[in-house]
Amino acid sequence: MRAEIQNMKQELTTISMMDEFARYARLERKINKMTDKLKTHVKARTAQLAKIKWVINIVFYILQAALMISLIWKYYSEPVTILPSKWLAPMERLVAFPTGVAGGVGITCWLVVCNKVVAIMLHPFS
Amino acid sequence: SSSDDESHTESKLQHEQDKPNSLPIPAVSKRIVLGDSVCNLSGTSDHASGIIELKGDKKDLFSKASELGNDGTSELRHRSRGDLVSEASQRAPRHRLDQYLSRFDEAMKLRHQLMNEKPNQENGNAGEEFDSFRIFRLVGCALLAIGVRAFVCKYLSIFAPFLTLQLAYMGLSKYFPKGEKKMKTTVLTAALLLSGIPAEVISRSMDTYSKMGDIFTDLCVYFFTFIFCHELLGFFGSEVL
Repeated sequence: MRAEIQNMKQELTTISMMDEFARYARLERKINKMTDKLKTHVKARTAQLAKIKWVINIVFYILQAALMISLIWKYYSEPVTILPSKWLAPMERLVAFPTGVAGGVGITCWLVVCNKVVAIMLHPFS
Repeated sequence: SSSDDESHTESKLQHEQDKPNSLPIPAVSKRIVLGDSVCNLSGTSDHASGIIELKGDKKDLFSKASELGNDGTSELRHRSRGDLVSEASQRAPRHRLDQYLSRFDEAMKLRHQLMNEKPNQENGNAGEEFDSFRIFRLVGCALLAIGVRAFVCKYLSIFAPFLTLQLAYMGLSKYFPKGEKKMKTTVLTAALLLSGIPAEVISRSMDTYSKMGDIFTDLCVYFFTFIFCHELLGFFGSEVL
């Protein structure tokens, strides 16, 4: 459609407005009509792309939430790693949640930390 | 005779001057007679000017009522007091509604103003930009975590050096160029404005909240780096052994 409009515009430049006014006006009307049609198509396509993007975002967030919940469900009693408990004082209980292992790093705490670090690393690319 | 004439003309002049003042009396008496219709007028009218006019008329009413006589006066006063009470009760919710609407208008104006000031953003999470101080903080936290894992963690908690670093950052922040403060226009800020909290309090709270967020981010980076270094040392230590 864009090529067609371009061709018609080129044709318009060859027509003299004084000599062939009717033909000039007809062609100009045709160009305007096609331009409006093109704009409508572009708008519709942009809206469709935005909708698809939104759906993909929603699906991604749902998958992310499902993955986190499944990891917490599976590894709630196993610590990610075990450190000497005095290293983590006074927050050893919070860090170890929900494992209850002294000095351990719980899956919940680790997921939150990783989430934040990944968000920071991806920030320049977003 | 001349003095009599003068006094007569003076009294005449005074009478003529009093005439416009006395004109309201029949109008006032008409309003007194109408009574209920005046009340209805005040109840149904939405215009403040009508209420103000009525107030003014009421003032005239009270000022002229004493001239009408005792019998009419007491009855008139009882009636007008009743009217006033009913009007006050009707005015109170209207006043609250007006107050609410004015606050809503202010909140919307502020929101539009802030939205016009800030650039358009596609993503809602893209509000934070990394300035030089932010990057300095994050790199400093990562380096500190490496240093703590290598040398310090055997002697004390890993969070102690982190807290010291944060205190140092608070002091160093003034030496770095500050970027423009962008106030996020969210539903929360609009709701807080509507509930009557001053904008300055909201901005200070948001500022404090953002600072706490920065500290949390630093903590996450610090902890992640520490655990990562710990695991790497453990892995390479086992490999060496």
